[in-house]
Amino acid sequence: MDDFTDFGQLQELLGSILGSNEMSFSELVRQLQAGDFQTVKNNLGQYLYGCLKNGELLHLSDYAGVLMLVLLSALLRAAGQAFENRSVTVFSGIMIQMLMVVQLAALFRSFLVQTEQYLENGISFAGALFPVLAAAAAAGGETVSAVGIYASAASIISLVSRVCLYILLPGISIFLIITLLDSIMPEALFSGLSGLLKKGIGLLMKLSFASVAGLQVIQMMVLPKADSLRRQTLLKTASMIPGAGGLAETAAAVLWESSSLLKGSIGAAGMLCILFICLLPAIRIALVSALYHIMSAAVLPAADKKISRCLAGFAQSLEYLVKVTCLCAVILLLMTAMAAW
Amino acid sequence: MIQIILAGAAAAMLALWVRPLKPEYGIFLSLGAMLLLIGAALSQLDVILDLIRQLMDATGLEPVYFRILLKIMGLAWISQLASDICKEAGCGSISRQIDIYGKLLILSVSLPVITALIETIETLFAA
Repeated sequence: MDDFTDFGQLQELLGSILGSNEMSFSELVRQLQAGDFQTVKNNLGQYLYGCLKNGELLHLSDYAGVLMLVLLSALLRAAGQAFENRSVTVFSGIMIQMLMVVQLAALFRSFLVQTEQYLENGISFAGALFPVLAAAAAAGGETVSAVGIYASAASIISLVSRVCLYILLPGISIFLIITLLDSIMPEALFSGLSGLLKKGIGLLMKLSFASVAGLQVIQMMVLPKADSLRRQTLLKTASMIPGAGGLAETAAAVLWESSSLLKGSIGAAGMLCILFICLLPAIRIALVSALYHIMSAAVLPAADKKISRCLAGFAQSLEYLVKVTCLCAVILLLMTAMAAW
Repeated sequence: MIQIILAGAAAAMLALWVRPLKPEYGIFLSLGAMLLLIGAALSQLDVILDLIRQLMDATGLEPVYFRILLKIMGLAWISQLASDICKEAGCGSISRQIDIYGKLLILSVSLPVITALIETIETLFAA
């Protein structure tokens, strides 16, 4: 059993993802196994507080540059109106709008790279967690479940990474560019295309979730029953041993239950870690998105309408990044929950 | 400020007086007064330019964009001024040509921004 409580590889991965070894996976599993939820809550609360205190959730520099461009746009617009020089207002306005698109696209690229990193982190952690869960299931006599967990984890992780990294994220980049270019043009020429992209991204996200959930539900309908049948057969066979039958049956039942508890604890600890790996970045991007929405509404009276539309489009694209991160987190959480059931 | 107002008013009155006698002198007078007033206005422009420079620095964008922005504003201003003078002098076709030339110059000056925009889009898709 000790082989399954050595989480060296998982801990190493967790430490490299979170950037510190403050969160101990083996400690988390032990606390959950002992039912010490208060300590788990306190430790996780402290970790979250540390992240908030260090200002990791919100980087002010993320939007200070854009705010300055908005101020500049408002200043030039006001100056142009005051001097009644239409051409200065128009040309400087176009220039500022183009610079705004360059600035926002560059900023979005940094968020895109970060999101890719978060998704890869979550997927690689889940990739390291599932073999441990499968081994714990096999140790508890759930060999059919173990094989099922291992096989489904590999296919679902591959599906999630392909859909999120190779389809959804590039789709969101295209959506951003179309929205930004549309917002600086005199008329919304690409509104149909951006609407279509929005629908496509939403549909693909729903489809991914439904297919993963469906696959997991089908597995859960069959695998535990097959294991239960196998276990009952073994228990009944053991109980028929003359003299030591009762003892053997009790020992086997205790061993299986303790393995089941260990599997549940590993699953719960894994879910908490996945939540932290994917949730904190998602919260951060969601906060930046909310700030840009507020900025878009706040600058409307002073700056150009096109600048406001640019900011709103950028905020919407960030929302999609949050949605993709959340989708990935939910799929991984669902898989872990089903595997540890 | 009072000197500028007096100079402007004097030039306007002189132009009104000269125009019926020699219309071309009236135009030269207006042009001279305009250049004098622009010279006076440009000397006061430093404060505004400093503010724009500070804002541009705070955006984190390259300083070259600040120079481009200033060039565009200057070109837009000068071309409209020249176009207005020509229009006032009754040379509508020259005024239109100046407008077109000014716009072409603005387009050529803003090319680095357009290139930066295309490069940013390319890097976004390459990410």
